[in-house]
Amino acid sequence: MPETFTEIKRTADATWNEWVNNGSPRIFVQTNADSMASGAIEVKEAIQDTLDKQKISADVTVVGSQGMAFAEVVVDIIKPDKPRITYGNVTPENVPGLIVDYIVKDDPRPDLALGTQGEGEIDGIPLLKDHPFWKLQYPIVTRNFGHIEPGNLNHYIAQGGYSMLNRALEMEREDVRKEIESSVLRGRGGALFPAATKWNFMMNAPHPKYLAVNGEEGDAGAFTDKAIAENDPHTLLEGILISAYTMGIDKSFVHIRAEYLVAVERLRRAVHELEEANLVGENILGTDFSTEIEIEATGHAYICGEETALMDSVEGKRGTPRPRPPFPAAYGIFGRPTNINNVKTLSYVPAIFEHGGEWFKSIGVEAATGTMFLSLSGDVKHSGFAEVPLGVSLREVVEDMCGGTKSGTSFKGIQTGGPLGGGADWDSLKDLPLEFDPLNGLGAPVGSGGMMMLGQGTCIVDLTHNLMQFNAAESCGKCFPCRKGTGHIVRTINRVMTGLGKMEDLDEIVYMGDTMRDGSLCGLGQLAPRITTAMLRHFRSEWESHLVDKTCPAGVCGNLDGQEITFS
Amino acid sequence: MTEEDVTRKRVREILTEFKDHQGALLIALLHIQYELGYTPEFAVEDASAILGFSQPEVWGVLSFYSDFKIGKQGDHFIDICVDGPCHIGGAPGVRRALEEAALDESNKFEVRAISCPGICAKAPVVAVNMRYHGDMTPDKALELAAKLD
Repeated sequence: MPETFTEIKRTADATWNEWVNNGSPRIFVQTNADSMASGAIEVKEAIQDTLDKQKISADVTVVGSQGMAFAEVVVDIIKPDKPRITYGNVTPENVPGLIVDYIVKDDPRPDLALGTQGEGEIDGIPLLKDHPFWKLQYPIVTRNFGHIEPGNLNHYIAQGGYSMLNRALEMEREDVRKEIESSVLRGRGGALFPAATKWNFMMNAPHPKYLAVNGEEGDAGAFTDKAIAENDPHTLLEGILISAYTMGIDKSFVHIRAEYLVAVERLRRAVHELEEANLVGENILGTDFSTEIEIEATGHAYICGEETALMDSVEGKRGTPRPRPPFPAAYGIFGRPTNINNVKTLSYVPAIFEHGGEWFKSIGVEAATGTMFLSLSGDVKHSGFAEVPLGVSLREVVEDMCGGTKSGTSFKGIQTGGPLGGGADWDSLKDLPLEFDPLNGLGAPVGSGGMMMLGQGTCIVDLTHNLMQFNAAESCGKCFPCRKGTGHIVRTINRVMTGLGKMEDLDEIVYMGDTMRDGSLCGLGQLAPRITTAMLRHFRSEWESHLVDKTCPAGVCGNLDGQEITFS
Repeated sequence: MTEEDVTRKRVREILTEFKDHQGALLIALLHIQYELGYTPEFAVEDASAILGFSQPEVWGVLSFYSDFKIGKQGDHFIDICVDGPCHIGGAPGVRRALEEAALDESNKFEVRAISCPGICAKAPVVAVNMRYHGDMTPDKALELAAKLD
């Protein structure tokens, strides 16, 4: 007889309370791929080493990252009956001093602290929520990041997790779908199609039917799918299970890059714990609903983020797009009806179901409900990821939350939505809200939330060349306009960069882009020229100075005398 | 048995293990790649025989995904991301410094340009033998390279 959810919840709460109230200080090391690149593993070893040497009894836990990549490695210390203090820029060198000062000598070291979290205050340390990076944020998908051990089922359940799955299983499928539909949650992969409307196509499809979870995130400058998988895999999995129940899915394929080692490992652990608890598999929680989840650690090719290419990839073939129709809802993976949703979209489902569609609508604006999970990179002081309500002003996002450029120059613009997105100059953007339609109109679509900030030291022509080179390399080669067009645009931009270009080249780029948009089979080919069109539209003078004055205003393109061709 | 025989036996084991798996070809090949650190050429012949695909189909998959490295690889690798955020963050300079250092015969590593590994917030990034390091500069990269032998 499988355990009931009440029993599972009771065990989880007991485990959690025991951990929280064990009387000794608790140390969190915020660990994901980003912080590991800054030395999180070494910091953890140094902490353990110090505790052993000083004979201090404390609990060291790996938690997810809260997105403050600019301050990594981030470590939190919670002493019993004191608020949690978050420390930034921790290194193996300064961590022994920090441990001894705070845990032994009770000096909270305000010089290293970013802020405190939770109830209570500590003299000399501000509240973390007052930090400019946090003021705008509204955590929904990211609510558990940094608070629990990623992939630990008991931790997640103790935060209220899987109670929504339990509630959904007692409801009619259509009622669950309607609740999500009322939130107007639009697909966060960039296509912005209302998620629950898409589910409608699947409700009455014949079994077996599949759900493909799109985590193939190859865009330069987008890393939020990876962030969810690394920092709170159970939020994604609960979203998958609720959606799977609603549509009657037999098997879900979570498509994620094998190179994302941390994400794959944590997802696998999470699925394993779900299987042990009978929250996935046969007769979930004693109901007649059965479904499987498979973590597909798969090969990397950016094109596999395109829905039909992703299906081919799951089938173990080259991931090349298929013509539509037939649509995936009729003929998908292995010829069966398949629904495809992005990792971010599905991760919103548990929270929406808990608080209701009206609540979700109240967060954003009418045309764009809820929050947007942004990846902040480029020339920016506060790099990392952040979740903000849609409709906030871009000025607040850029000037307050991001804290300006890292280089100290003024903002030139933002490149949005990855290499298939676009971009615009700061003057056109600064008075706009973070919303889908106005930004789209400007040629700078929000897409999957990637925002690459550009300072005065960035050459637009060089950047466009780089992004277009990416698109050319990732073109699968199946259809002619994309295969030839991307390469042709790269070569044309290269002429501009090396002083060999003519003014007519700019028209050529636009003309070529129009052909690609109209003639390509899939989104990659149709959207690839968007970046060149947008950059030409907003930064024309910079292109012209390369062509006419033979100078690069940012000083990046070194050889404009037409003598030497540099590839970078 | 020679070393190659041992490897070949293992490759055949992996392929057989995944034989009944849906979408076996890609998954089995990735398994081989990540276990061995490279994909031996004979894997094409074996995958074709064991999984029932034509050799061109197997080559098609191997050449499509950037994970696959065909043939035995050198001892050390420094991978550098060359996409957007890393590019504007200074990756070209880091790459140039590393490539120059790699020409020096006393250095035994190879520099490879890779596609975005999603650590854009710490751009530019390099990976030394698959371990990532963020906020790279030419000097820091050369320091990491000097530690390899």
